Amino acid sequence: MKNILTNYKLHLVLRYLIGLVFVFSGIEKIISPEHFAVSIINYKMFPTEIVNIIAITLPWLELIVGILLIFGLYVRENALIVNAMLLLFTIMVLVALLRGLDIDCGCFGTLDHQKVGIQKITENLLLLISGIILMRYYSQKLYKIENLQ
Amino acid sequence: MFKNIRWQIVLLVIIISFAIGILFNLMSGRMDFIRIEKVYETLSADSLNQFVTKDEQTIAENAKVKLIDIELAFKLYESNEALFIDARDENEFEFFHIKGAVSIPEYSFEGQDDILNKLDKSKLYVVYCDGADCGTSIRLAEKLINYKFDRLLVFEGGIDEWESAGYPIEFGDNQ
Repeated sequence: MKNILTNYKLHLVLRYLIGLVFVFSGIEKIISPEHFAVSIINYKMFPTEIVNIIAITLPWLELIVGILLIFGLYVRENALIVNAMLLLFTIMVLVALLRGLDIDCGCFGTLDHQKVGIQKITENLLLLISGIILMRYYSQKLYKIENLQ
Repeated sequence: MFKNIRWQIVLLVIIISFAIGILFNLMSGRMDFIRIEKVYETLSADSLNQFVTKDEQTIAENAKVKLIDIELAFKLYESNEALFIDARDENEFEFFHIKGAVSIPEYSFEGQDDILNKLDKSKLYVVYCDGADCGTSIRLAEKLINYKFDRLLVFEGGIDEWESAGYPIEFGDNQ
């Protein structure tokens, strides 16, 4: 099992998967910050005053972390940030579900009209597991020349 | 799990990302940093009559978004007193909308839409979107007020409440 988890090809796939998801999600929100701000308001979890500052900054964190993961830079650290964001998003979706809110998840800006629900939580948890694997098992040493040949 | 994490890198990535976001917003000027919650007045059946009158003072007071509930919205619909404007995007409008409504998608609204020229600005309009959570109808109403639509109301319950109440809807683009 450990052999699979430390496999550099698996790490490559996971880096690209999480990286592309976060780059795409970040760009969509940067293009339409107001749409993202409204999505945050709909969750009814944050004071209105701080919603815009979240909508202004968080998409850039998603974009930059995604790019760094794709390029394999500071993978463990970026995986940690990704996991923290995914954990937060999952809790937000879960709380919205428990409160009976029927709202768009707002995960991919204007392109995404997926409602909060079990499917979204499952997607987030799969990404979270991928992020934990990278955070726990990723090592630059795995990229030995003989592995890459 | 955390022992090999370089926390200074984590902090640096977060600070740089937030700084870029703030700088980008400062340069593009797209959004206020602090959001101010607006409270909108909900009109009752009695105050609606006052709203509909057209003297100069009332028009000046009307130049703010006012909300109506489903009973009032249906009353205006039934009596043909108001035209309904759907603020959602085209696909959602085509899927289904309040019967007789016109589509002005808020997300792409820049004031140059042909439909604006076709609408009589002195008439009464009711803007709606999905429901109370969507906010699109209020944003469109605020934009339309800038184009001299003085008699605008927002039906906050939107298409969700309308459909649940079994009121008339239609499918496809019938504009």
